[in-house]
Formats: sequence, structure tokens, C-alpha cells
Amino acid sequence: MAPVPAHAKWYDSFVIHKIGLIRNLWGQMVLVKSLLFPRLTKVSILARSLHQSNPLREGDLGDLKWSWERNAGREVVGHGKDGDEGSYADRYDFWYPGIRFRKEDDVIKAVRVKEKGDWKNLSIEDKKLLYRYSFRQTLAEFDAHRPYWKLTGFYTFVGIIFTLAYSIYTDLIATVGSSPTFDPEWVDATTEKELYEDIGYFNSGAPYYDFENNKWKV
Amino acid sequence: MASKLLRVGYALTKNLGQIRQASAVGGAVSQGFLQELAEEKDSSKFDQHFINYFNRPEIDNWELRKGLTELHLMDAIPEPKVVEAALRACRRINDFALTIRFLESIKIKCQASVTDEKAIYAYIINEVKPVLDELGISTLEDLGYDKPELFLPESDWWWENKWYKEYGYDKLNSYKDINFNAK
Repeated sequence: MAPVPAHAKWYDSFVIHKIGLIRNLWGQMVLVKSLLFPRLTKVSILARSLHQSNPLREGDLGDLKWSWERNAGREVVGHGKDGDEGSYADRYDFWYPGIRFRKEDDVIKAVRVKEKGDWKNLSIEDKKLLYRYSFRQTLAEFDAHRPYWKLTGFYTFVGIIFTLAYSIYTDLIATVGSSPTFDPEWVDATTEKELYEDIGYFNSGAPYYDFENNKWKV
Repeated sequence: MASKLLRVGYALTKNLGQIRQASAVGGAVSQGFLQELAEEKDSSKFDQHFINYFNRPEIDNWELRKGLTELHLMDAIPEPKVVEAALRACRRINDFALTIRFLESIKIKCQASVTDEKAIYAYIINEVKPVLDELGISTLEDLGYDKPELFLPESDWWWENKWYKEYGYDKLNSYKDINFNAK
């Protein structure tokens, strides 16, 4: 695996700001799990809504109130998709987001001074740093395959195996011998009885049985 | 009393997320109009539209990104003249990262052609090479960004893996453990 630059932190991939809100897969603002679960033990808090914004009622504009907090001090450089100055997003259709990905640091201030001069003086590391401070993922990383399908596939496989095991157990092991009505002789006797009783009724087996030769019609 | 304060606070903050009502050129230009221009055989009107916009000397980072987004939304690969104008505009506002992002945008546009993707991208870079050398912009291959460099571990959904330490990632248990003031 490629080495990661020393300045990169795990939370660079997304911003958890000081009040502990994070956007989940569906775009809803929720508390991080370590803060959420202790809260759920309090009934008075559980009685209120768990989400801080309601997409059904407010749409995607519900957390514009928290734009400033979600921004976390980053520079606003454009419009992005919405004009929301608190969110950064890499997306194919709006490829130039509205805010820089990272906040201005002492590390990058020196490079920005160089950036104002001739770009031939920038080293390859400086250029990479500038890109990483403005954007989260390059196109190659955005298009790259991720390994999580293996875990999802494994969980799906395990689930299928468990359900198969349960259904095979109930059909072949648990029910066999539980009642005499499952014996083949009993079943044959009841079908013969129904064949003669249900002659003339709709949905009976009589049309498919040859009574003269005592055989099923092919 | 508290509701009054909240109302004042909301009134102060509500303009933060407001959408700026500027358009790419001085005047309302719809994307349908631009897309029709892009579909014409002679692309000179479409190119001139963007070249005139990018060549404005007083262009802003916001306006440049707006123009580039509109160019990106069009179903057309930008001509070398338009690429040159956009790169010079990036130079004027002193934003290097945007040039790399723009070159990646051209690569995305070239993905529309299944058979000639690399050939078209190589052609455009070749045509634009004098400008790249003049301004000191390196291509994606020089930076090593044609292959993925970093990985995005979605640590809120998955447990702490053994390679987190190798990578220098530390899975912190809550936001309280993050030291925002550390250098």
C-alpha cells in the first residue's frame, strides 16, 4: 500500500465538528455513535427527534442553519452544487466544490506564498500538498474500487447459509416423525380418498386421474 | 427572551447558505442554450463564449469555478483554446490545485468515448503542452495522480483495523479526543 503523508489524519476524509454532528449515508445530520448511544438511555431525550434536521420536511436545505459550524473555518471559493458553504463534496456533475477541503495551516501558508510566484518553483510535494488542501480525492481515487464489497458479500453469504440451514432443518429434520400424517402411506390413502370424494368439484385431482386403469394421466 | 435571541441568531446566520445569483456571463445564459451551441458542427461560438469569459482580467475564484462547472456540465470535450484560456485564468488567481482539477475534468469528459478515451486526452494534452510548460503546470502523470494514491477509510462504519496504526490513523472514540489546536 502507498505511504500516507504525515499530515493526513483519519478525520480528513470527513469533518466531525465540535458539536459532534456527522452526515450519514442518506445525507441526514446525526450525532456520532459514541455520543448517540448514551443519549438514547435518557427517555426525555429519546422522546424528541433523534435527527437534527428532517429531510422530509426541509429537504436538503434543513441544515443550512449549521453551515458555519460544518464549514469549520475553511475557505469559501465557489458555489458547488447548492451554494451550501458548510459542505464539501466530490461528485462527477459538480466537480469543483464550493469550499476548500482543509483549513489554512502553517504548513500550507508557506506554499501559498510560493504559489503566488512562478509555478516552476513549486516542487512535486508542494503541488501535491496544494491539491490535497483544496480537494479530498483525485479522479483516480474517486473511480477506484473499494474493498468493502468483500465484507458485504461475506455477510450476505452467512445470512443465506443461516436461512437455508433453518429451512432445511424445519422441512427435513424437525417435521419428519412429528406426526403420522407425514408418512407416505398416510398421504397416499388421503389422496385416494379425496380423489373419489371430490369428483365433480373444481380444483380437485379428479380430472388428472384415470379411474378405469387406476393411474395418473400423463 | 430565549426565543428572541434565537430569532436574532437565526436572522444573522440565515444568509450564510444563500445561493449567489450570478450567471456565467453578464446576463442570464441557460444551459439549454449552451448545450445547443455545443451540438453545432462549428464550435467556434461555443468556444468563444467561454474564452471571452475566462479571459476577463478581473475574474474571481468563485466566477472561474462557476464557468468551469458550466463547461463541465456540457456534453462536450473542451477545445485546446478553451483549455488554454481556463489555465491562464487559474494562473491569474494563483490557484494551482484548480488546474489539476480541470485536467481531471477533461479526463472525465473523455470517458464518454469508450474506444478513444486515452487518445483524445493525449491529443488535448499535446496541443496544450506549450501552455503547461510556460506556466509550470505538471500533468497528472508527473504527479502520480493517474493512479490512486490514498485510500478513504470510512472509519465511522467499520471497526479499527490493524493497518490504522501503520497509516498513522488513530480511531478516536469521540470528538472530544480530537485536539483541534494541535499542529
